[in-house]
Amino acid sequence: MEVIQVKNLVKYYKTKKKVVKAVDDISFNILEGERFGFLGPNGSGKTTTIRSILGLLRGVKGEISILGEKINPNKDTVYRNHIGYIPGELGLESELNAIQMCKYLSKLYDISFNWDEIKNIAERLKLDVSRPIQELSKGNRQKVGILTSLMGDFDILILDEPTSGLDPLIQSEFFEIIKERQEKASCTVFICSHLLSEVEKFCNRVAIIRNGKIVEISKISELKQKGLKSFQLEFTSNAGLMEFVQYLESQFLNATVKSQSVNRIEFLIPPEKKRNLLHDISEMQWAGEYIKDFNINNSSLEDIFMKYYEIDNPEEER
Amino acid sequence: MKLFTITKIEIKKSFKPVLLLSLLMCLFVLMIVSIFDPELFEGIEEMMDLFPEAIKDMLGSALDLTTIGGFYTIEFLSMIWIWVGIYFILKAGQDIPATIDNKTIDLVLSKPLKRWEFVLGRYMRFVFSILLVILFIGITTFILFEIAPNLQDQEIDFSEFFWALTWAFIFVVSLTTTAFFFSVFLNRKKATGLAFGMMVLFFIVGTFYSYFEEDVQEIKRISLFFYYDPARILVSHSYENVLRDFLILSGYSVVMVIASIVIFNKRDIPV
Repeated sequence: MEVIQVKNLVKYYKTKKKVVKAVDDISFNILEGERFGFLGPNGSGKTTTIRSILGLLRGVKGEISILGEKINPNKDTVYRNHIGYIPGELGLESELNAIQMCKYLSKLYDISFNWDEIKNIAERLKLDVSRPIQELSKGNRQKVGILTSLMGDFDILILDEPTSGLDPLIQSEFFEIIKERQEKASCTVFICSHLLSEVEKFCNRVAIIRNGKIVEISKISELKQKGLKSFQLEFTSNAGLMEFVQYLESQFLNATVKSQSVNRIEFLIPPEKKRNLLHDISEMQWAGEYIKDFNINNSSLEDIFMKYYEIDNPEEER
Repeated sequence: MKLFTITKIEIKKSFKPVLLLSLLMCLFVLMIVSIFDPELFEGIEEMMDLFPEAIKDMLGSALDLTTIGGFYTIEFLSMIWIWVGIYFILKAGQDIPATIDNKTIDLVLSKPLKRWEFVLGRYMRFVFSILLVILFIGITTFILFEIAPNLQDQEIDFSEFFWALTWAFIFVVSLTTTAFFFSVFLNRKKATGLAFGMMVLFFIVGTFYSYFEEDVQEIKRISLFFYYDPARILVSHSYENVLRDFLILSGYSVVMVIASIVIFNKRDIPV
């Protein structure tokens, strides 16, 4: 079952001088129980998509269905009962502490919550629930946001940069908590994050959004298969490496060198070029003499993401 | 209803400053009652007769410092837009923009809460807060009128004071509503600035319209101050057009709140 279905979503921001196409005709589905990652650089339209689904924006065109029911986010509100949400820019009542904040929102949302469970999450996130929010660091405020988003029951958890400000240990703990919650309540997770390594580990499927359009949407495993290939070569000497670099630059114009040292090089090439390169390495004279070791991997999600991102930043292209 | 939940939560949050304002106003009323001396003010009244008309207009349409009603009107009720109004205009002008600036609005509106409930809930908090302040002032006023030795020979009609205070309540609510209206679509500075600007404009037009050219004097009808004149009840002991003014001020508030809801319902919540 499709838990979230977005069809031809469009949201333009009109200013006096120009029209910004924040989200430009995007469509995607998120299946029940899935962990769906939504990736894109700043200003690509991730948050606008989420805010459109939640009805925080007006003038949104397209169709949105939640739990199989078509909704009008400008009029319907009941569907939001099924959603837990951490906003990208979290705002909390600064004079309250975490406990009071949870109580405040539970009153406002008219929901009950398991206090022991919330206390347990707070302990795991190493959050002091008695301190007023105004005295907390950005990371600790984010933890309060996590607590509030996990209150009550929901079928969908929408997380917009949920680990912002958290240290790596707590980030890892956070993903564990979400996994446990998902297993327990069989909810669906829709996550926007810049932590690509975590998304890679955590999500089943991702969509990459660029300039308001989805440019890629697939399972992470498939994405990595059809993504760039990462070659790591170790040479016996620098001369051999330099000769190889010259060859690479002349024959593989779209190769991206990730790192290079005296006798090591790591680069990415499109998957269809892999066979040619392997052929050339095995055929050419310096191959047997100069190359000491080599390794081929599927590129990481970060490499794939960066490849899409580089299109926006041509000056960074190699 | 979620509307009342929001109102309750917001009243709780702002209860301390509202209570403090109420106490200050009660002290102010105590001071006014304490210094009231009809014989002393007979002399002052003669002196005030020499004041320019504009100053007298500013203090109230009917001047009578020798009665507690007149004195209370001049010192307190005619200036209630300063003593109480400014605080609520400042708060109402910043209300919605503050929730947008501090991002708390995202958490609130991402749940099944209709926007009209959010706007009306927050607005009702001001109505109840103003009611609380006026209630405190009213109770203090009535108690002091009962026990103050210097007022024992005064003929005080409590119902007149009741209606004058009710008028003050409706008037302050209408000023606050103006600020709240601007807050649903402008940022804090612009909303508060525009609300104050409107208040000053209303004051000038509603108070000094008689100094304008005769053919533009009807402009007085756009001013909220034109519909607020407690001296009519407390000094002239007349209820002429009072109901009309009550209805106009209340109607204005209702229209502005509906407009606030409509505008807020159509706007994006910016990131």
